[in-house]
Amino acid sequence: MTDWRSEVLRRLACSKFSAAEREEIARELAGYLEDYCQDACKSGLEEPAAAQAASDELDEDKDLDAHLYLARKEHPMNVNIRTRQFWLPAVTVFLAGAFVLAGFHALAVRVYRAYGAEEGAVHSYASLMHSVIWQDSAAWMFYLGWLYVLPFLGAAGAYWSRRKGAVPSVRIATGLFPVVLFTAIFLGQLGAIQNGASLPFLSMFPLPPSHLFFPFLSPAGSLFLSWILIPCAALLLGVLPCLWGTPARQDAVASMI
Amino acid sequence: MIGSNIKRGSSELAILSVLAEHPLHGYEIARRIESRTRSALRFTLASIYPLLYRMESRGWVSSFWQEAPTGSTRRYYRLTAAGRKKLVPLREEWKELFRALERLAEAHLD
Repeated sequence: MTDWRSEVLRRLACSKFSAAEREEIARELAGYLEDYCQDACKSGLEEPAAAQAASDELDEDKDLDAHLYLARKEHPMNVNIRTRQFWLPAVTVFLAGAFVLAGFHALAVRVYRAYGAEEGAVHSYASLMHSVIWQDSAAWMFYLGWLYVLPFLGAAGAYWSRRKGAVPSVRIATGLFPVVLFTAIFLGQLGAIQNGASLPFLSMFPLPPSHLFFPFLSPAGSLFLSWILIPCAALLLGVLPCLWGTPARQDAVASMI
Repeated sequence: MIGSNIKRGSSELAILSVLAEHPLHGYEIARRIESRTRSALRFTLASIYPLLYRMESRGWVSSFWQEAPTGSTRRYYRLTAAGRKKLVPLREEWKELFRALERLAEAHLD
């Protein structure tokens, strides 16, 4: 009886696979060859002839190891599809979200300064908020303005992802990707507040210790609501219409012939 | 006999179609396709595994090790949600292609 595992391992000896991958592939391909031999014997072939036929299958492609490696690791479509369906739209939406946020922040700081916040105070969250606290409506305006933009960002990401043939779960992940940024800001602000540090950035939003927007919540709860839950819901609002409909057919066409 | 280019292009459809029914291991997939197509499409070890690995990388199929009816452990492949989504337009594309070729052939005969 031929030791097919060793035979396949011998064929994969020069491949770029790791030892563990080589072992796994050898196990799988050996299973194929064993089944092939068994069927050949059942159909009337003598065992040596069946083994020879199986061996011929294994030797059919001299570059089998390279083709398996390309299929598993290096085939451009592997990278392209994942990149086209998720990473490219997700990172673009993420960057767009960061630019929008920075833009709103810059605008808010200008307005606060124009309304009398001291130059130095702008870089200290607590003093800034206390000096402009009477401009609560201005803070609302910036926060809501930012929220209004988020559904469009979510929709853009999900639509782009859908155009590339992504399934709904990938469309959702793409549209909600900017939440990664908001989570980082939330954690940074939470840490800063707990350590009593000033917050030099993103002081336009309804944040603790004033947290006037959500006074019924703890500072952490207020931060979580304003930085993660509400923005996430706004992004999701944009994603929802893009969850229906079948993916574009360009990938199907590309895979033909 | 179907030409090699068409065979290559239809391989993905063939594999996705047989996996749409239930999970199969590599050898079973090859034999199932061969019997369903009356040997018009025949997969060998060298042709089926690169395809299966590529389809797994693309997320159309996933794999798991399981004991086969013969008692040996085999790596089974099953269709993922992405694979099912892929299969629907792919079937339509191929139907369209064959209808178009049929029309072309009929026009030529006329």
